[in-house]
Amino acid sequence: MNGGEDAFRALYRAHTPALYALAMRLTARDQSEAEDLVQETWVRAARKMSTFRGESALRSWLCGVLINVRRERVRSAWRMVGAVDIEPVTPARDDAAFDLERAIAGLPEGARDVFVLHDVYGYAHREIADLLGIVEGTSKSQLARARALLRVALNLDEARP
Amino acid sequence: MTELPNDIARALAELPRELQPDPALEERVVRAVLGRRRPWLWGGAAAAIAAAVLLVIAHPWSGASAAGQTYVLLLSETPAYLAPPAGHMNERRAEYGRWADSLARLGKLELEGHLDPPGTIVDGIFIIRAANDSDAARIAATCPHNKYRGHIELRRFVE
Repeated sequence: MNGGEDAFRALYRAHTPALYALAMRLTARDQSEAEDLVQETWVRAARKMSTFRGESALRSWLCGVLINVRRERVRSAWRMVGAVDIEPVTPARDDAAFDLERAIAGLPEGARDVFVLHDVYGYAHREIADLLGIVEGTSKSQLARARALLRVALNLDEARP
Repeated sequence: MTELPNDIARALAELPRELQPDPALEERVVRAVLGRRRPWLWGGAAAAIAAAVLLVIAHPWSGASAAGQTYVLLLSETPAYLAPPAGHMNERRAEYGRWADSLARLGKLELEGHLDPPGTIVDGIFIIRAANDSDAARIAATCPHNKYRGHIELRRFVE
């Protein structure tokens, strides 16, 4: 093992748990997709590491890379859907201890992304708009939609049909 | 904007910010970032897709692939298959190659190869690793062969 590999493994171990947690939430707890997302994030980050200027924390920068990779993969998946008849991967639903996580996982994709970034990770709408390639108004409307759906999912308004 | 109750907001703030992935992911990532892949070797003359395309080259990451199961993708033509225009076979091969390369970077490609001599039923083969049937189907859905209206048969490989 050489110094470069040692250094990379240290970086990986320091930041991957945070990246993986974010990836799991963005992918509705699809473990395989989350792992692919983390791997592609590191590949992309290794290529772009020279562009990291240190204005933000490394972890924030890595999370931004992951969100970008996720956005590209979602777009790519949409282009490919329709070529063959594939059942969508659904998150596991058998763990009652994670009602909140499961409710988040059940949100529609666009609303889930905004909700996770805003309400779980504290990103501002402007940052979310930049990261997801949407306008701030869309970010706000998706957040409102996500919260309304979450209220129903968690039965907060006794509005469950 | 609709607000969430305070207890829900607190619960969201307290959700774990870190989650340990499968330990095997570290090796996958290290290989993907620091490893080097062998160049693509397309075999055979470029007669036509029907004359067989894909390859048999042991992938350098074979034996160290991600956890899961092995699947075989058998590519064949259909009556509606959109063959490449004359003189564009190399572009078509390169497109399939880029797709295989993307799988390899994710540690999901086991083998690529062509059958020798070429047959008339199966045009190409990819052997992949996938977490489960759904994951394998999702990978198959990304193959460019779909775009050209080819047929992909996805089978689980049992040793």
